[in-house]
Amino acid sequence: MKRFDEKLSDRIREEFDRYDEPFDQEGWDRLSMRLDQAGRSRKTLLFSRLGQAAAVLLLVASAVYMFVMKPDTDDHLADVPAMAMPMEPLDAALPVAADRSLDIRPATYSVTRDPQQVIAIAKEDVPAADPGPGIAERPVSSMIAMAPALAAPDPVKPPILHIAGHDAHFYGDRDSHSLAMLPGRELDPPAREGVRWNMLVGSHATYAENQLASGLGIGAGVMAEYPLTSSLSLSSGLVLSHSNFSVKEMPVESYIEESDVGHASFVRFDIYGDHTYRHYAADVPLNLKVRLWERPGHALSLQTGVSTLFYFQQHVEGVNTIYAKDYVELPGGMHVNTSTDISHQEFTADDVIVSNHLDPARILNVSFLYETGIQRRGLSIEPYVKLPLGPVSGHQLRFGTGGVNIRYHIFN
Amino acid sequence: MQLSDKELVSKCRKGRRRCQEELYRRYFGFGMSICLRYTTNREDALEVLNDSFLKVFENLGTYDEERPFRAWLRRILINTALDHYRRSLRYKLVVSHDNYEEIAESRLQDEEPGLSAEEILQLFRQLPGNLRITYNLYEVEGYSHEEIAGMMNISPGTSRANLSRAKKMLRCIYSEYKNRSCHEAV
Repeated sequence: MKRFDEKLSDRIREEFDRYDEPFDQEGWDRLSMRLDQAGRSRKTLLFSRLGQAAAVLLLVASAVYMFVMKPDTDDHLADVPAMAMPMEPLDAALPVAADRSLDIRPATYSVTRDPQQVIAIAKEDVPAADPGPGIAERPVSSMIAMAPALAAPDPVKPPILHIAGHDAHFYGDRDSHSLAMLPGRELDPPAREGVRWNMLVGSHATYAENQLASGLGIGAGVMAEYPLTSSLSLSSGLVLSHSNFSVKEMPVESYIEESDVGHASFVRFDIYGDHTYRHYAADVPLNLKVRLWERPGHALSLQTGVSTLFYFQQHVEGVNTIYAKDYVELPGGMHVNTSTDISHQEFTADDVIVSNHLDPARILNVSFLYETGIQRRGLSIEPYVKLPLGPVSGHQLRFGTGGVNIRYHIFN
Repeated sequence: MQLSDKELVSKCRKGRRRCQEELYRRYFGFGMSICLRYTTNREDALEVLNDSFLKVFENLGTYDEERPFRAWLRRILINTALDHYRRSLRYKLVVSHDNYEEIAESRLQDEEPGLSAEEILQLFRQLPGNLRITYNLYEVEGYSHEEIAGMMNISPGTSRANLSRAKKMLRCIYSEYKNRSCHEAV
């Protein structure tokens, strides 16, 4: 004979094995809404992950560039051994004050690399004596002053630096900056500059919802560029832009309704739009720029970051084409489209009111900059794309732009 | 012609909303029969059910179509109900449940518990959460005490003790319920 506890648990199992709860439409509606939200957040997460991956890639590339691939390495000098320099009674030897230090700025020296120029330090002309203590602390002026006395013709080694105002060539140590007269290496250029201001004008094409839209936009603004290292800088500013573009046959909405016509089971509505948009916006980009390649007076950089856009005027007008398709259910669960009604709905900008709209960091910027005259003033050509990280503007469109900016560097 | 579970799941994997609705509709009753036993009201049960289906739709990629969908869903429903219980613990006071009158099983030996599902749910709702869950996992779902211990992050001994207390309380609640029903009938 079964115990009560066993009988009770058997009873519970039996009851719930055959338990059935009537379907609750409200429950599904709630879940459906959550599925929509989850889909949207997954996409946002995907773009966020892509953005993070791009940022990491950018950092790694920057690090590799800065610490591994030292630019402008003179291979023919790499094998020249370091050489100790003698202590000289400089003041006595040359009319240069021993305590005068060298002001190392770009304007004060120029690099000459003419291999035919044969003024250099010959190894045999330099006494091999121990330089003694304090060599690193010696004023640069003393090194400069020392150079003419030491220089001797050598057809092999080219001169490295020529100091303006000093009739001498000298050698410095790239790593220590001590100017300890180690021949065969040149001095580093100054690591950082001040904030650089740019005036920017540009023109762009727009693509929306996976199609290139007709119409060109324009933009103009001011950007400030703050150097972080010699090859990395952060830039931000304000750019006012106007976009005017049209899209054709853009999917607007699709939904299903129960049919109120006798023979049809349901009606499927597919709405496509031919729309023209006009947007006036303020763009505040925040970009990181990495210098990829540099020659005197020219540089190529990659720039990436995000833009925050504030739309202060948004207009849309156009025509919606509505396809209403009747479906009839056949035995076996098949559905057949029996008729299609096509109607048009025209609307103007006054019909669709969209208020001011802010899209914080919803646009990914990627551009290349070819810069000329990079020291003080010059021009840059900047081909760029702006990729949406989700629907943007009050019209909730997935649209981006691509174009070319011209920048004029105002001053450092 | 109705699609098989396998076909329906395959279409759901492609994110087709109508197929997702069909799957939800098909397993709504089954899901609620489980969720109701682990929660104290219908609203909570529906929340657990929807949380579970959200996990189902998001993780259909990991589902092995060769295995029965019903068993996979059952496992997700139970795990989600346990998560829901753990979350609810943060907001509830744990009350002592040892002050019930001891009713010897022998006193109910001849009883035939002819309870409906609704009546059973009413009894369950009077059980503290940890006892209700342990009873369901062991007596209805058929998990061992070791498995329950792993699921609830307790020791197998605690699981045994919880089951024993649950049975003791159910006898008492059942007895009270029967007496009240008798009084009401008289």
